[in-house]
Amino acid sequence: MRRLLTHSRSRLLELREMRHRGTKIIGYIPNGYMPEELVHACGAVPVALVRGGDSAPVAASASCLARFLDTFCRTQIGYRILKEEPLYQMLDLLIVPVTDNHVRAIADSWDFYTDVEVFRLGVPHVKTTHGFKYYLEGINLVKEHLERLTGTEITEQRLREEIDLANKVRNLLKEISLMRRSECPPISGKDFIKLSHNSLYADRHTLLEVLESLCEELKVKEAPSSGGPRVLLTGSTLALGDSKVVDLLEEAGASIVIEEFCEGLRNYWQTVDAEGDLMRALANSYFARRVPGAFFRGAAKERFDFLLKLVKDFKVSGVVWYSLMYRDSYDVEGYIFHKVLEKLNIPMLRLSSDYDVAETGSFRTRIETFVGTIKKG
Amino acid sequence: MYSEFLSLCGFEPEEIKREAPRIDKTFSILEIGPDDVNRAKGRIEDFFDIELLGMRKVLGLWLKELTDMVLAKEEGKKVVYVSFPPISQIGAAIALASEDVYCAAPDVVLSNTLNLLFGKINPILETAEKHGLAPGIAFCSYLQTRLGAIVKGIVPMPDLLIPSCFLCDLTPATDGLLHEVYGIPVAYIDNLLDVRGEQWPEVISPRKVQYFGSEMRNAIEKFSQVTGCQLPESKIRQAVDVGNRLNSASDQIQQLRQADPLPLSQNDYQLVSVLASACIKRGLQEGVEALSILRGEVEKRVNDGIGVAEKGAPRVLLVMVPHDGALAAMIGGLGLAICVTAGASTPGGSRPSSYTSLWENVADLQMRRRGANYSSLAYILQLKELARLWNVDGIIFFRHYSCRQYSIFPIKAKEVIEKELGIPVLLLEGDYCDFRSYNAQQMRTRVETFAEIVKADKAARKGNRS
Amino acid sequence: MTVAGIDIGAGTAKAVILRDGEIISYSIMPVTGDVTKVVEEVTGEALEKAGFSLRNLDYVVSTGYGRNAVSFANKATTEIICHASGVHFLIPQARTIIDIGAQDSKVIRVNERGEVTDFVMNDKCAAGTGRFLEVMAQVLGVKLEEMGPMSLNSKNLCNISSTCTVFAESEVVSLRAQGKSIEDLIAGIHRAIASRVVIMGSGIKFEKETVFTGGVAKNSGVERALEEVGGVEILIPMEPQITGALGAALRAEAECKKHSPGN
Repeated sequence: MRRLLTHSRSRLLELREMRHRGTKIIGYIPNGYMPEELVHACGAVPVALVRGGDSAPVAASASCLARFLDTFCRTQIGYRILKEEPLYQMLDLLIVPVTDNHVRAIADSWDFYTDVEVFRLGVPHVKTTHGFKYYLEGINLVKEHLERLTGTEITEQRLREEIDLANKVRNLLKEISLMRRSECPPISGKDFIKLSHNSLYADRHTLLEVLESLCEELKVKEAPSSGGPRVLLTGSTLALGDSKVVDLLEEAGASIVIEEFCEGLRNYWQTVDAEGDLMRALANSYFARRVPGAFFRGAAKERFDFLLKLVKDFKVSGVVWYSLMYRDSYDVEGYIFHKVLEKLNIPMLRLSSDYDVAETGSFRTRIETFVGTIKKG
Repeated sequence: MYSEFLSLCGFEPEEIKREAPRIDKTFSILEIGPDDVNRAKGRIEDFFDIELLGMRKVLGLWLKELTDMVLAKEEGKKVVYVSFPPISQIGAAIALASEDVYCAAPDVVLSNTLNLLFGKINPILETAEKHGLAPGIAFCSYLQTRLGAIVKGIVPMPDLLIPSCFLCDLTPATDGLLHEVYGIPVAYIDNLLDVRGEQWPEVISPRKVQYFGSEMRNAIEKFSQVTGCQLPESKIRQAVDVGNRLNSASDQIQQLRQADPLPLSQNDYQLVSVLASACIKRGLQEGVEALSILRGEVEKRVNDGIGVAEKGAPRVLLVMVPHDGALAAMIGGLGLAICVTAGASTPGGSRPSSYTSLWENVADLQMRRRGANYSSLAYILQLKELARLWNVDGIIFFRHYSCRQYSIFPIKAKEVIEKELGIPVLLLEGDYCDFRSYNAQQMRTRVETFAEIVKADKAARKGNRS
Repeated sequence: MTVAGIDIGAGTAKAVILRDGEIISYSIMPVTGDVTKVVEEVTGEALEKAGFSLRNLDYVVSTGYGRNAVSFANKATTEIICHASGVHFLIPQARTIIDIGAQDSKVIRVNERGEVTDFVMNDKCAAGTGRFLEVMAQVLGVKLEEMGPMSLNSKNLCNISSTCTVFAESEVVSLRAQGKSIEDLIAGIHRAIASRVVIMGSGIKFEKETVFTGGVAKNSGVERALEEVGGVEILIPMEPQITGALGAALRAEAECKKHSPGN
């Protein structure tokens, strides 16, 4: 774990050097719809734009975007404007898998206000045959664009290698995550989230070694005596640097045993079945079999079934629904899901953030009260 | 009971006699009483040009549609709700499919009658807020109107919802809620805003056309499944023709607003254009006649040099028009002539499609018709084109707070238009339907100041040319 | 030709008497209670100082939030237009105007003829207005007029991160309890109000000369903060509170010239 954090710190310099030597740095929005394997397969490096939690970039974005858009989506252009995050300044291309209007705002604001080239990958909001076909065509267009940009062909062999590597990483993350089903989870929610965030930047070979050794370590670790009340933390986006809710939950004594976010955390539930046409295999894993975000049309049933499965498998006693302001599809789903959980007698706390410093106080009150409630239950 | 009011809205005496029981019933369901009718009478007199018989007829058509909608289930029809912005070809096809089917967008009908005329929408918004949609301006009040009316029961529970999901994420979320909580079947019509759009309206990529077309085809199939009503392609094409005729009648009236002085106000034209574009059944069946009366009257005004604004008044494009009549009236009262809105057609946008298969043809037209349906940049290009075609001296970009796509590009639009066209742009934020927290008066200082800027700018440009 | 400009703001009422293009008197009064009474009083005081009475006035233009409450005005014009005219008269090189009043703030772009070409205003949120300073003055137990000089003694500005006045208030209270000095807090408060205004005006570039008007312009600490945050040198006219009323009076003069015989 420490190794990963040390690596992350030096990674920035590494990337800068690689860029000087001609490696292309490809930014993307980590909502689980961009197959990173494609970027690796042409020798470029994918870096997720996933910073959030600060109020200064939110204010800075006011010169480009109006206020009533999802806070995370707004802040991405803010970080670029403030020039304090080096990663945001060193992109050769930004790939935005366009899901809803809020993520579209990221694509448009970078397109209008920076000189970084923006590639929009359309994600259909329905899992139909023509939806699958559209997505598959989309990632083929991404592949062609990457090949043109880097001057490197993405061969089947190279792509297969990258898929295998990525599958290994996904499986290890899954294995580690599933360990938290036990009564005494060997790794805290906060640490797992840290792992997930750092994996979006790290060199994948280093990452693989770290995950392998961490997995072994955790298998034999002396777990602490039974953790606190078990919580599922779910919502729209958990950005790197947005630790308010996670910290407050753990301070209040709760144990975050599982997370489900569309943006910000690495999706590890599906591996890519590298049989036959590899592009189809990618589309299958990244689109068809992936649990859809709330912005999918008619997505509620599939998402709720998945969330309820998590609640059951991880023996969750309370759900914290954390979304960012103005992300309407999540707000509406939160309302419906609350009703679903009420019927099952599982308490749910809904929080929404605008990355404002003043929220900490009111969140603390709500979270402490909530954790106190489920302690009894 | 309300014969004076009805005749103000263009009802002939025999129509009043015939429709009275239905209207009484409708008013009773909507809890509209004598005070409300008086208020509506005042608003109609303030905001609409009732000396035009054509306008009175248009008002009447809206009232008739409201009645048809509220009584649809009682009168034994299957009820299908489309949404805003509607795909007019689909709306027309279903509305005209059969006498046993009723189709409309309840949010559109209620906003233009219960809200605009009667000013009685708050109880519906409050109902929506209690049933899952975030309160106040945090959630689109159009959709609060939609959900609130259904849940409150003032419009019949539909047999099918067909939301337009090619632009807006809140509409499918709302109809998704109606499905999950109330079990109403939904046929989503999806599309993606995933292109830069700098080539709009020239090339709409085939794969986007195919995707959107497939979504529409599926929706119509689901309609037939749920209602048992078959819609062969020939019937659909017929309905599309009817719709086109109505839209053409509306466009002809808009063309007359090129005249100086402006012969027809924005409040008046708004009711005409939405009647045409939102596939209102009464509009489809009786609209062409009413609009032809109106066109004749407006043509006469143009010939006589009569207008609702001064000759030479600065011409403005008003991007979106809220359902209160007051904003457009205030802008007009300050000496600006609102001659066009962002919904108007452009030659590139309404050019016939080269796709021959029905739904691909419609999909292509839908994406070209309005830039907003395609991308942010396309919308800005459309605004530029409209400003050029209509010789506009300034743009008032009124946007709906909770309309997410309109939060993305207003700042850029202002930059581009001021730089490339050299005309001033005013950005205003407000709400289409919810007037509890904002009203036109609050905009007065900004609009008044903007009126001065536009007048000075126009005078300077004129001076430069002479 | 004798004309008057009356500016009825949310916090103060101002009246300026102009004779043949020169300011001969003005008066400033707080707006409390009956607005009609305040209108009469502020006009009366300015007239008295000038040695005139109401009937000597050839034309009156009213402006400000309460412009429609001036019954004897010949015309009512928005404060944005009037501020531009007033500032242009005093500082013809002015191209950007920042006006911070009791309950609103504006950034105005003005051209070489004193005409407004673009503007943005905030009249919904207390942060970024004089109200913000009033609330903070009360919290810290200082007088509004003292805030400017006190902030100049700040050694280590205290950052106030809350964007909302209500939350900022409790933030300041808790920072004070932590032992932060009043001077540092006031400097932080000034920085916060300047940031709000600069962000609001980010669509309008701050060009030379940038002029600061409104009651809050009397606060040298806010002036300094605006220069730091906005990255631009700021000019302040001698009596920054009356620019609106002055502009209204100038427009009254222009109207008069238009209607007078022999024109």
